[in-house]
Amino acid sequence: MMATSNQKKAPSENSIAGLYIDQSICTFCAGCSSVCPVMAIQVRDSSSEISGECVDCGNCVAFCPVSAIKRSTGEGR
Amino acid sequence: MKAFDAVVVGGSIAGLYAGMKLARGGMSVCIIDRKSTIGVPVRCGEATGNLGELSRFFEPQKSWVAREIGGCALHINDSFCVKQAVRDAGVVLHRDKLEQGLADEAGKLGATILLDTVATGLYESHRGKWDGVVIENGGAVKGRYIIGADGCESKVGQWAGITRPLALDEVASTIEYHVESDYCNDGFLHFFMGSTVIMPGYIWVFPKGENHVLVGGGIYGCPRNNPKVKQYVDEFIKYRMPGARCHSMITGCVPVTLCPRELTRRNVLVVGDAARQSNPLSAGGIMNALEAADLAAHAMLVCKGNEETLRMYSRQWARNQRRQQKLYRLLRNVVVNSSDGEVIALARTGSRLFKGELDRSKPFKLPIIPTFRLIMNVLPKAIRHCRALAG
Repeated sequence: MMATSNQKKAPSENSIAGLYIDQSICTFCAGCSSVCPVMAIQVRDSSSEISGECVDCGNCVAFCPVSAIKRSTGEGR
Repeated sequence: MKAFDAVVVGGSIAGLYAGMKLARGGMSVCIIDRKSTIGVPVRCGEATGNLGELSRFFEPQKSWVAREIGGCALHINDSFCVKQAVRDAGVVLHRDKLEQGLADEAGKLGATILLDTVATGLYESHRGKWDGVVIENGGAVKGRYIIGADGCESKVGQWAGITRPLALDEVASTIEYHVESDYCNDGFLHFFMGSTVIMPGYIWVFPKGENHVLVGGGIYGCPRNNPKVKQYVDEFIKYRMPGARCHSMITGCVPVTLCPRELTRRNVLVVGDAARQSNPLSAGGIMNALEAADLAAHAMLVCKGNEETLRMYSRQWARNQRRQQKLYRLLRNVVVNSSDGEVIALARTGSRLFKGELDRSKPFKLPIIPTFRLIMNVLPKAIRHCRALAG
């Protein structure tokens, strides 16, 4: 099921389906990408982004050791 | 572009060693990595087997070793500690230097290493065979064989249908600080467990050098309403090492599950964390990655294009390490589902197995009575766990 994307995107972050990665906190370890069931997270040397395939399962939010993945309301799950 | 015999996706320890062994065996090899520098950043606790074990794979250089390990210590909350000296226990590495050394060696043997190169898919020809990998910004790196050594998030394994994304209960969320401190800096590997320290998982303090230790933590399964591993480790450092200077912080993901039965599909193989070959209890994976890369490269060198022979790698791995993984996974589940008191009882019984310093180079005979007590301690919980899994 695709998540609704009526939530507001955080303006300066990579954000789809209500989830975004705070680039100032992310350490680019790619752990979120490992637990993403739909391969929706791309991590590079110094950037990371959630693409449109995100199904909003929240695995990445639960995994992230530094709480860098947030909902666009500004809070983690 | 020139077609290689083998394309290795991932320039970390498993990928570099496999590439090196294949190049030594006469294959043309291309190793690609999304990072811009080999070995950096180090996302690893860096403790591994001893120099004798490492020299089965390559000649270890002195500069790769930060510290020799003198033994292990297990702390449960603040109420229990047991220490065991072990001769030839292992070493704490400078993993960045080791990986750079392996890359140099692979390069000398003729391997091509492409950094800042991101694989975005398998390159499929009209013959229905994977002929390499597609890379970002266009183009492809072609090869007769493809090794996925692209870590926990392995895309190669998923593209080939060998692995699937990891579930939350199949990973450990980890963090590690490089700390300027002499706390527990006695040459032993220190493990801290217990409900007042971290649950469910453990915190480690590994010696890195004079006045430098690695302090890290891992949580099995990332429970959704649990505090984050960073909170546990920050608290640990704050209260046990006040005033200590943290130089760097890294995070990571370690598979703590079983590797798949089949590690190859057509001409694609997976090794290391990409193949979920780490230890489900300790989350350690350096020796496993080297062992797997060795078996995979050997199978590639002897198979001469025969897929059935290539599958020898999966069978050899299943015969040895996969069985061990099952045992370690069971032990982890026993420990995670035990109370602090029960873990202390287990550790106390376990500590009676050894008298004095344990020498890893000599065969070790388990004493009958303590071993029997330990088994009786673990067995009921293990049976309960297996029943829960079955039911």
